[in-house]
Amino acid sequence: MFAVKRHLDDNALIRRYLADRGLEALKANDEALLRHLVQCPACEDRYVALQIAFDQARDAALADAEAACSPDRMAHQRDRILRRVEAQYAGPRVLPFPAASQGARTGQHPRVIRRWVAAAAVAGLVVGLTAGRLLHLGEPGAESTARRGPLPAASSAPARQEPIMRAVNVQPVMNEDQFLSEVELATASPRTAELRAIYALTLEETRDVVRPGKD
Amino acid sequence: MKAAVLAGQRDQAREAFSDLVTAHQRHATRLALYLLRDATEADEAVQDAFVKVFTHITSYREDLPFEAWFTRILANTCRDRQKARRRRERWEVAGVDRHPEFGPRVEAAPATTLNPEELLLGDERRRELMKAIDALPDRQRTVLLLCHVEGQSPRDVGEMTGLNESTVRVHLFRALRKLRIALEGGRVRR
Repeated sequence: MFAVKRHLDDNALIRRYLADRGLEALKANDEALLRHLVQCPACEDRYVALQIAFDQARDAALADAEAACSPDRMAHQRDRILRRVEAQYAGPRVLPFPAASQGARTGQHPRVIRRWVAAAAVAGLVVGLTAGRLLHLGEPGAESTARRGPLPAASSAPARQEPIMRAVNVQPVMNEDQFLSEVELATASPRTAELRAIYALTLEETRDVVRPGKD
Repeated sequence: MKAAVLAGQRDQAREAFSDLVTAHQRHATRLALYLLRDATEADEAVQDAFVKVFTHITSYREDLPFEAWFTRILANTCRDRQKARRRRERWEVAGVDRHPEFGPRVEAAPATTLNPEELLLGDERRRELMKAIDALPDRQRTVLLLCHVEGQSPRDVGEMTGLNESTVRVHLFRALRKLRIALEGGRVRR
């Protein structure tokens, strides 16, 4: 019989070991393996030795890993985890700009300043308008202008022209000859003192130059 | 904890979360250590995983075991770190061994915490066994530690490592065979 005649090799023993630990399922033809292990003391001894060696390897690896899990290390790790979670719970933290003043960081201060600036601007406008109005009223004739208010509309224009016409100093009516002589006099000689010098240099000179040509 | 978070009961949620961390952090640290082989990185990965748990606790389905959900988060975190480490190592000066086996060894566990089996296991024998385990190829070692040491099923290990379940079984079998050969050789040499 096969199971009795031949000893098991290491592969068969390892398969058995894995099956015992639930890491591998034995196949149908492994029944012979199980029977042989029961009947062959030499293979049974080898299997026990293999089992001990593998178990020792497992324990050694576990102890080696456990060495990295000292109580202090675990406590430190737990603290760091909880701190990180706590920081996440608290939400993102807004860092203030380093150069910003303490007042600017609070968020209350800028609003108060803005209100004061707006109030000052309004007060300045009111004071300016009032002062301007008072100064304007102090000027001669400003009162009538001020009283007049806004510019008259086109429809009301004739009614408002009457007092202005009255205010003009109207000369007594002159006849036609007088009027024409006045015009001639005005055009013949400039009445403005500043213009007389220019007139003397230009027009008089021109007349002098032209006359000989005409002669 | 999920109920407390949903109800906005901050203190209760914090307390429940603290208990949760205490209950799972040791196992989580071991898993991360097996996957990353660096104590500092494992520590950070565990922290990240727990913070993710807290952040996404509302998406946790209570009909599923918490352990499986958390292990998946932890494994993904470890894999992200592994990828980042590989990227980093590509830019580092060749020849500088930044990651000795299992990273910086932290202080050894006090003798009082050792169980009777560990006391029987001599330091020399333990060193020999660890040397044999460390000599295994990366994947085989990781699968061996997760399946054999931590008792995870091949399916779970497949999800954690991104390997096929049958591939995990093959790696496990080969790892044990190599370990057997290494231990046999050591015994013969002695």
